[in-house]
Amino acid sequence: MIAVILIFPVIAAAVAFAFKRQTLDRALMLAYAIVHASATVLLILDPSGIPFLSNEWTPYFRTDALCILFLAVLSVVYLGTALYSMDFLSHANAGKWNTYYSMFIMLFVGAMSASILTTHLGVYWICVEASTLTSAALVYFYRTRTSLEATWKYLFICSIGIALAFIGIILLSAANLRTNSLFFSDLYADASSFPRLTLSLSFAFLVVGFGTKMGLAPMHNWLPDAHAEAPAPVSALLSATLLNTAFIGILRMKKLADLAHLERFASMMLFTMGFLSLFVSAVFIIRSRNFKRMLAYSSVEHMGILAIALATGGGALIAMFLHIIGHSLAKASYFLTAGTIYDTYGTKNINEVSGVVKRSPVTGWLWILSFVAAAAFPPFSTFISEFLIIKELFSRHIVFTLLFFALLTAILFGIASKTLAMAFGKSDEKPVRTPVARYAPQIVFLTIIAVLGLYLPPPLHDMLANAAQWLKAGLSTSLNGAMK
Amino acid sequence: MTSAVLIMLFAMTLIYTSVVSRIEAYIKMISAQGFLLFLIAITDIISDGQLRSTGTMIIAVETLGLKTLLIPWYMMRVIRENEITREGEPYVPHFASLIVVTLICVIGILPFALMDGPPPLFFGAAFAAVGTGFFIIISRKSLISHVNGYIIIENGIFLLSLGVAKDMPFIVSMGVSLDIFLGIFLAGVFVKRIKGTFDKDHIDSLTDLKD
Repeated sequence: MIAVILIFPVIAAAVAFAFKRQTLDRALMLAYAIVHASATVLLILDPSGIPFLSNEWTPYFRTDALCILFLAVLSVVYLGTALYSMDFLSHANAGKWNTYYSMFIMLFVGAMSASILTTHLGVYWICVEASTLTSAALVYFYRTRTSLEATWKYLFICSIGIALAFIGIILLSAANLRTNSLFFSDLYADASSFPRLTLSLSFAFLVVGFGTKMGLAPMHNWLPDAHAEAPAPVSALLSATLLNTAFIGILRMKKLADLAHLERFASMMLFTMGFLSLFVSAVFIIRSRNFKRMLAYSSVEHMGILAIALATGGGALIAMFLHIIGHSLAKASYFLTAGTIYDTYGTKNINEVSGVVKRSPVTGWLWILSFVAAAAFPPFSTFISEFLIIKELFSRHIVFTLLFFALLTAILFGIASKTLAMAFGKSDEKPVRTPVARYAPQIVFLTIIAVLGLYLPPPLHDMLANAAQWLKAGLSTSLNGAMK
Repeated sequence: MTSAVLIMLFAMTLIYTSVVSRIEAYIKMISAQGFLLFLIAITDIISDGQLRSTGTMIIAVETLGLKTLLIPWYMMRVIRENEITREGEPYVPHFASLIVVTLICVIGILPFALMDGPPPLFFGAAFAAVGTGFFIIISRKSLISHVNGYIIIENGIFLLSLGVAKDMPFIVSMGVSLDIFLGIFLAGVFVKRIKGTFDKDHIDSLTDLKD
């Protein structure tokens, strides 16, 4: 099954490139979404008993409690964006870039799946590199001056991040001369024997490196540019899946740091970067005049929340995994809707858009509901997850909880005033018809997280709990010591 | 002993890059660094005979082929096609950057010299190169200088990876993939794109996107 997820996009991209037929491109993109989703379902059901579906073809790719969750989110978001892209591409008139779009989106999703599924730090690092390259081509889709600038910044800043992560890996292997292995399981088994100084240095480099890709401040500069200049489905994928893919690396490194009794240092670092991200996004959301940039900064905010939740530990961990699902679906819906607004109005300037509800009721209401979901109001699951994170934080650190609240309120105010002003207000233009592919994915995304906010099915709860348990495995005391 | 001399030469190229302003001189220095890395690899690792032949091949092709010849040649082509010859006004005057880079070299080597562990020159020079690369990226304006700074960071990392290459040849291949990555992104972004879209090479012209 894993082989299918990883090999299908390469073959499909080659076929798309060979024929360059628009209908074929789109069919392949959708086919991969369906294949990806079915393979993910099978992997969740764990087919290890069935010989034909077994995962034992290489030691480098395996599923575990952590990655299955990320793979499921990726699969759902990709299915939605692939559907949306059907209509998007038919109106984009991009010529041969239609083919490139389908090709690179499949390779991009393949690279992200590989980095989620891998069991080896080196392979993970290479897959992150590959996901940067393939998505950079997608950011350049419109081929304008500004998209070139965004692509350049994206590539350059992420390359530096990746180079820093590589220094971390070299230090880690210098510390680990006993087994000479970069498999996560070997690293975890040996963790307590590593020299602490080298390991802290290595952790710092790795977190800064992968944090760049995840969009944590102060290395977030590429994120608003790339998200704002990319076509909407790509922005949705970047925000809802690529950032998670980088986060999984940080999660794996955090576990290593915990096992090596460096949890205080690790938590301090994540805590600082998390709050810095919240602060940066609060400042820039209030100032922002471009609605896609506003959404991009909101992603920086949510990544900050995830980093803070990881640093807090304890009960916040399950909430963190729930928040990953909530944020990904809410933000994917938000970005896809932003894309429809951009195509209707032809501008990304907040002041030039008003009366979306009048002009296209379904888009207008999706815009408002996506905002409600991303801002963590009930009934959406983001409310529950943020509430649980705040509760856990409150039991450990009251001052930081207040700061957290203040920053979230500032961000909420900034997004609310802009989103609502765009949705309501006057519009002199005639109402437009919105095709089904342009709103169905968002409705599904929002329905999922609304349901999860009201009722968490036991299998999913088990998945979240298993992932949290995976993080905690092997340590009993450190989580309490982390924040005190 | 020989490798110590070679690493000293490598550190000197760092100091030299801090004062030049002609882009061609930069690129020549980067090429020289690639060649020095090749010599360091030969004297230090390959002569030990510990590395299998594929590992040796990879290192030789990487340092001589990619770092010494291909990437510098490509950069030369880019600057000729785009008619870029000089770095414009750097943010930091040359004399100041000379002092900063010298300090970076000292600070890079000192802790390893005091520490009882990894060979100080090896690791020190590597971290000095990473620091210098960052300094060049921060203190220069033009895009092409930023790429140069990135290549210097990469050379430093490659030197670092040679330190663990005996035990983990896999790491060196990862370093190679970093270079291939750089190659692809240069090819993708620079081939006539920048020239076709922008009038001059200054990063000043890549500042449309802001809040």
